[in-house]
Amino acid sequence: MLNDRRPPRPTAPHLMDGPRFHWRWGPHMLVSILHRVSGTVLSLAGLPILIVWLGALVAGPDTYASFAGATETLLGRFVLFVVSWAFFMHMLSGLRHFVLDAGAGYELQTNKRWALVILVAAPLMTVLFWILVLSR
Amino acid sequence: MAANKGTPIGRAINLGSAHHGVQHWLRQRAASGFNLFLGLWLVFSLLMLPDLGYATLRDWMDGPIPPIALGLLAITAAWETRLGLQVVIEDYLKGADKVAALSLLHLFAAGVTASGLYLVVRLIADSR
Repeated sequence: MLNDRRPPRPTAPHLMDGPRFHWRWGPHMLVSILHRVSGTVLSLAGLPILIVWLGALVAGPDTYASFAGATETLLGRFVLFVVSWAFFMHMLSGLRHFVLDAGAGYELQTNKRWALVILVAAPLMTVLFWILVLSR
Repeated sequence: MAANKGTPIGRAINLGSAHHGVQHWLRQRAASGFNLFLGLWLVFSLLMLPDLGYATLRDWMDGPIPPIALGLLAITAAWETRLGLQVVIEDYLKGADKVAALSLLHLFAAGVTASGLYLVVRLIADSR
C-alpha cells in the first residue's frame, strides 16, 4: 500500500521537525504564548489571592494583619509582582486580540511593532504600579 | 449507519456548523470586556486609597460600589477563567486527562464565584 510508506501526518499543534523546532521566535509568538501564560497565572494565582484577601477582610483585623504580613515576605512580594505583571500583560495582549478580532493589525510590520510595544509596556506598567503602591 | 463510515473529515463534511463555536468565542469576549473594566477599577481604587490597612478597606467596603463591583468580578473573572482555561486544556490534554481537568476547572470556577459572592455578602452584613 502507498499509505504504508508515507511519513506520519503532522498533527496540530505542529511544532517540531524531528528534534528541532521548525520555527523561530518572534515578538508576536512570544506575546501569543504569554497571553496564555498570564491568563493562567491570573486564573490560578490571582483569583485565589483575591478570594483569600476578601476572606481575610471578613475574618477580622488579626487575620487581615497576618495576610498583610504574608504579602510582605519575599515570596509574597514575588507572587504579587508576577500576578500584577500578568494583569497588565493579559490586559494589553487582550486589547491586541480585540484589534485582531476586528480584522486589523495583521500586516507583518504592524503586528510585530505592537507585539514589541506590549512586551515592553507590560513590565513598565508593573514597575510603575509597584512604585505607586510602595511610595505611599 | 452510513454516517459512521469513512474518514473523520468525510463524516464531518456537509453537516454544517455545530453552532457552538461562535457562542464560546462571543462569551469569551464578553467576559474579557467586563474583566477589563472591573480589573482596572480595582487597580485604580486600590491605588487611590491612602493605605491598604484593615480599617481603610472596611470603610471602603461600606460604599455601594466596591461590594457590587467585587461581586460582579467574582462572577465574570471565574467565567473568563472557565472559558479561557477550557481552551488551554483542550489544546494540551486528551481523553480522560482532559475530562478530569475540565471537571476540576468547572469546580474551581464555581467555587470562586460562590465564595466570592458569599464573602461580599458577609462584608456588607458585618458593616455598621
